[in-house]
Amino acid sequence: MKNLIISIAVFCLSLSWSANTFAGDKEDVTDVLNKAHEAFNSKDYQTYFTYLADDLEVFTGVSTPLLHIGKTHWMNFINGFASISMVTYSQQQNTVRVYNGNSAVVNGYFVFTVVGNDGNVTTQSGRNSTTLIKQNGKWLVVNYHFSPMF
Amino acid sequence: MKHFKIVVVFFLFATLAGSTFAGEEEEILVTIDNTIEAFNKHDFNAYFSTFVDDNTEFPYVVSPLRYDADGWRAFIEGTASLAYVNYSQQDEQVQLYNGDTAVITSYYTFTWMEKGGQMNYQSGRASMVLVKQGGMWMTVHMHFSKMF
Repeated sequence: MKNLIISIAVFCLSLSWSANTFAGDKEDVTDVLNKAHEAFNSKDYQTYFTYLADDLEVFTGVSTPLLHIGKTHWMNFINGFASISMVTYSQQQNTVRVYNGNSAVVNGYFVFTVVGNDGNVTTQSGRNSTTLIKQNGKWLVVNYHFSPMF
Repeated sequence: MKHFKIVVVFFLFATLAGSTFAGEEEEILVTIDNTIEAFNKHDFNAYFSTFVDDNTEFPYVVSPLRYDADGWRAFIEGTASLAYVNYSQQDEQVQLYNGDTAVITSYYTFTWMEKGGQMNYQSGRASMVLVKQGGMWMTVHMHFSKMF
């Protein structure tokens, strides 16, 4: 009887721990993306870049339809926004899924607003898929796919 | 001599590691090829055998909204009413992480013919995320978008 109680207790603790781990991962992933967006919107690109993996690949909805290969290529593209008055990105209705405890897929809808130096405002809305990988205990973005609504 | 042995062990390890990753990449590409072939043949059981239960998709036809697994199944099975479908992708880039997660980017062409004979053609960008579960590579997400 004692063994049975101990087994059930250990099993319940193990289930609870495992659920908490995944809940924690989802929160961590959401936190990383929020901080990355915040850094981008405040033009703190050096901070934004710390959330990206070196071999990042990106399909954007602006500039070129072709694949941006590598973090350096993407950094050059992002640094181009520095001269623009205001650039904001926000994303909502996100689904966050974590697999094997070390990869995460986030899907949502974004609004991207640019206020040019002449005061003109352009807005784009669309779909986003972001893939993150846990490396050395840190979640890093390895892939973005942005595409307009149609 | 001792140093020589260490160097040999290092090279053997590096070769083995390289082969393992090459093997994983081949497995991933074979899985994707088989999935595409199943789609083109309307073999939906084979097609969905390589998807996780909670898969999601952003397609570039019909609706811009996100599909959940049930929605995607209904959408794909709906293509049975078409006379012909052909999806293919090229310039595939495979990013492999931790041996159990892969992101594949590519450019695709999708051709379909309706029962009335009307042909349709689309080309665009595709991203696929696969994870290894139970020794099999499974699709967890796909995103398709147009060239512009």
